[in-house]
Amino acid sequence: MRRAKRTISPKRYNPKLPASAADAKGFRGASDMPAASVSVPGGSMLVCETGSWRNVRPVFEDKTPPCLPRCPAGENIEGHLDLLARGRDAEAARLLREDNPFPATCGRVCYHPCESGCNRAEWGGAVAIHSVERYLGDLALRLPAEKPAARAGKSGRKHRRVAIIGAGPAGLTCAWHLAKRGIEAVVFDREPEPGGVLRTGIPAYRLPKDVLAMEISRIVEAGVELRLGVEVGRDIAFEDLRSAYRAVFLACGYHRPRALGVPGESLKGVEDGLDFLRRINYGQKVTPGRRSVVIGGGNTAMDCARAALRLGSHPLVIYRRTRGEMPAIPEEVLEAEREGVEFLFLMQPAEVRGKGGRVAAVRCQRCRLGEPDASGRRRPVPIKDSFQDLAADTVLLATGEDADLSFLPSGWTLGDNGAVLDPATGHEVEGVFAGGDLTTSRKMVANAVGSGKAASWVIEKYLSGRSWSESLAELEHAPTSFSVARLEKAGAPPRSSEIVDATSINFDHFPKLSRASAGRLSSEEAIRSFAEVNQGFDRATAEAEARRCFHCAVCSRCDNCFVFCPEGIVRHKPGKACGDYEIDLSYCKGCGICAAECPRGAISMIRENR
Amino acid sequence: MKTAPRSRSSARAARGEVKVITGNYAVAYAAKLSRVQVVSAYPITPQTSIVEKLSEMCGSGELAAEFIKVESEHSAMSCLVGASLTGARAFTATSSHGLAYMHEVLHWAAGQRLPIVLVNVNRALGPGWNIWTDQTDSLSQRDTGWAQLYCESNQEALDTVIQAFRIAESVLVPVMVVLDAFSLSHTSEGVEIPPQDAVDRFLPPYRPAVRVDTANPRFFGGLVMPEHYMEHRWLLEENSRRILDVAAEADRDYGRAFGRSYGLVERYRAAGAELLLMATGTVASTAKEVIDAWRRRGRRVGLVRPRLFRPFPIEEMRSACRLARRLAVIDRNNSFGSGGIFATETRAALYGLPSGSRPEVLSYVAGLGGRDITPDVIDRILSAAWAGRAEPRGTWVDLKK
Repeated sequence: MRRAKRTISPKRYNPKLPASAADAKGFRGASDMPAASVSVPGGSMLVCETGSWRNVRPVFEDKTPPCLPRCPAGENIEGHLDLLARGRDAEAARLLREDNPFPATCGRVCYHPCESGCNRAEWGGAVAIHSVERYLGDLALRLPAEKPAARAGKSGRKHRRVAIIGAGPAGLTCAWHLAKRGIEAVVFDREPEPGGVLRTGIPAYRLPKDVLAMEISRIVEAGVELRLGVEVGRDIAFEDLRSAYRAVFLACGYHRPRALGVPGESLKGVEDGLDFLRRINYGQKVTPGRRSVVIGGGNTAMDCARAALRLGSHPLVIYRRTRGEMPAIPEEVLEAEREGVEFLFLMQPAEVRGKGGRVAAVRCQRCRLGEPDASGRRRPVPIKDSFQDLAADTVLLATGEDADLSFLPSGWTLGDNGAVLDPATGHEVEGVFAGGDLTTSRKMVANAVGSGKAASWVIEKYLSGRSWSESLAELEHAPTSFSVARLEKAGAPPRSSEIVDATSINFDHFPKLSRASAGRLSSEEAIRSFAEVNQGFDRATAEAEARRCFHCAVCSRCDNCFVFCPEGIVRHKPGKACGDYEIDLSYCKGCGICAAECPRGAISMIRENR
Repeated sequence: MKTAPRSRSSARAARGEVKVITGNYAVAYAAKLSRVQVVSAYPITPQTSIVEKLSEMCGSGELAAEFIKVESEHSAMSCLVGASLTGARAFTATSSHGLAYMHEVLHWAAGQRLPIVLVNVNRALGPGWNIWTDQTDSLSQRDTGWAQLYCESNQEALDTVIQAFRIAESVLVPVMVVLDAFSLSHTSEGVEIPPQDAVDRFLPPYRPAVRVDTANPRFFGGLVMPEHYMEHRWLLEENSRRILDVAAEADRDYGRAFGRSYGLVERYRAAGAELLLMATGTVASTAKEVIDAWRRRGRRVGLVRPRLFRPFPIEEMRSACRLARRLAVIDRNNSFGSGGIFATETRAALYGLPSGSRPEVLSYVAGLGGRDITPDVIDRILSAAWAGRAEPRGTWVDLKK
């Protein structure tokens, strides 16, 4: 029986273990040693900081998402998508407006180069940033306007006043940014209504006039003064402006139509495209003939053709290059085609032929593509004796415009960066800055917004006491695509120059979701009126689309690093900096798993220098 | 199969339900009865149905264990090392290449003194690719510090796994339980499943004196300088030698508790045998039939079957074999350039006997890669041995030259 009891408590030969560090010293031999290699309790574990094995260390380092530098208006796209994805729509709309006072407009007419770099492209299609912008822009129209900042006292007024020539997107953006910072901005425009080409050029089916009006009224409410119907050089001399205002921003755009330079141009029925659109946009009765021939391949040409279509005409667009070289937004070309606009490529007008003083036909010459020109596009080369007459009742010229800067002192030239050069002195003209179509590489609304913002930045520096050349030098820190919101934030570092591309995205962490598209009027319905074609996103679609954003390059606190760290030394920290994490470098061995598992490339591995 | 556990009819022996199950299921039931807490494994034929059954038990809640899926056997054993360091009872099963892949971590488990139990279903190593039985996989792990026990029947497999945990936890040495592919792993026979409460009395919970404890951090398996390494190895050696006692005691206690015990070396009609056959695993079962036939013809032959290979039961082998004239060892394994591994081990074990009272050891390598070892094959081996015919480095039986 006693033996049977032993079955329950078998003999054990457990290893002896050192009770304290003192015990661990000076073993006599195997008899007083632990059987296995085990450190003394509370002993060396804490002092063996395995982080010393590390050659590289992870750092949380936000980089730049590919959409950001592509936005000519410098919007913090990732930021507003993040807020929207979290259901904080109003905050998202406010963040968007901090950089761009025209989000409802840009959300309709922008050519959205942001989307072309989107790393989502291969994973269900680029995020529909443009449509989301429109949703937020429309939402922003319902939010209270930004309050104007307190202005300097009466005595300092002149020193805080800026004249802006042109109430288009560049001028109004500049004025708005200045007003928000307590600087008095007075905008002059020869038109009776503000908006520039947004008001006069873009038809209502793309940009409803009430949307534009509301957006501009927000800008005015922020403390911008408009002087409409005043043409500088005619109603007021440029030099008078310079003496009355500390700085002048030239943002008068490209308005003077380029002559076609072919016989018959002055026949009845030949019209400037922008003027044609202007009359429509002001509600005048416009009746193009049965057959309109639109000459040009840019957005104005598309607008003319689609507007003519809505007025009962049958438009034909002729363009001297091919579809690939068209400067128009590709979607606009597609829309025009869908609605029934006809196109003829590799055709250039040689003569407008008339009958009884009225246009009857456009004589065209066939072209082929030759060597690339300065713009990088292949030059059209006319083919000998290849003429063709195209019947026309109306001819709309949309072959580009030029600036009318005749009000400036003779000889002044505009630099690419916006500075104005006086050859007489060989220096930049102090306090005068140019933007919008006058200087931007692409004559687009978003570029105008960006240049207006840059102008406000330079002018504000100048008004706060820097020299003009120092103020211009600021542009290096604030390129065209920059976020004022970010620059103004004290301590916010400038965006990293490293752009995160698809190779840094860990696609395994993202579901493949298809891009949403906005509803649109059917072509049959669209061409019956100037009602807006694109129906936009509703709230659910916009938020779902925002959730498709990878937040490339920017820590979104997704916890992947926290979860995947095999050492358990990526931890949450109480404060909030870049992410909510801290890494215990005492034990980080630099394995790089956190960086590999970061879905968006927001963790960098940097070499240790020891 | 002819099994001969030395049953002791004891009124105290706990009896259980008899199920007709495969050797693999017998192992799974044994692991469950041992209340294993962590199972980590990677599938490999012919072992797979062991861990499949265990995963079902975990899934149904019948077994309260963590089942950790891994991408390799190396990771499986690594998981168990971690689990065992926390004080969990840990189990895995593998075969052949899987065991070979574990090799590094087998050393680690033994060196860190972790009482893990592993079941290896013997399978030939490739190439040529072969899934049938062959002992070279487990015998290749001879020097890892693991104890090894070879089983002859499904019942013995179940009983041995339960014993293995007690042996392992008594001396803190990991134990490998070995069974033949297919002839045990996939062959069903009646197996008595002991009642859980009786197993619980035989196998108390594992409570290591030291284990991973976040409140009291320690470093396990760190650097040991030359001044202490050898002493550590000595402690493993000394404790491994104790397995002979501990395993014998566990087997005796098991016999008392459940009515079945096997001994470290089974002797079958060995008393007074002039010629002894030595075989392990299911070959021993077949051999018993042949021994019976020879005995009927008046030939004094018998069988010895070592269950324990590491540590090798030298004294038991000497005492079992010393009176025989010849000992014919059948090896379903081979150490290339050396010959049958059990034969080599046995020669070394018997060498300490005076030359006059030491049987001549004849070596026969047979049944590699699952070739059948039929009664006829064993009969021919016995005939050859009876006549003293064997090549010095071992005869490869039925080799097609």
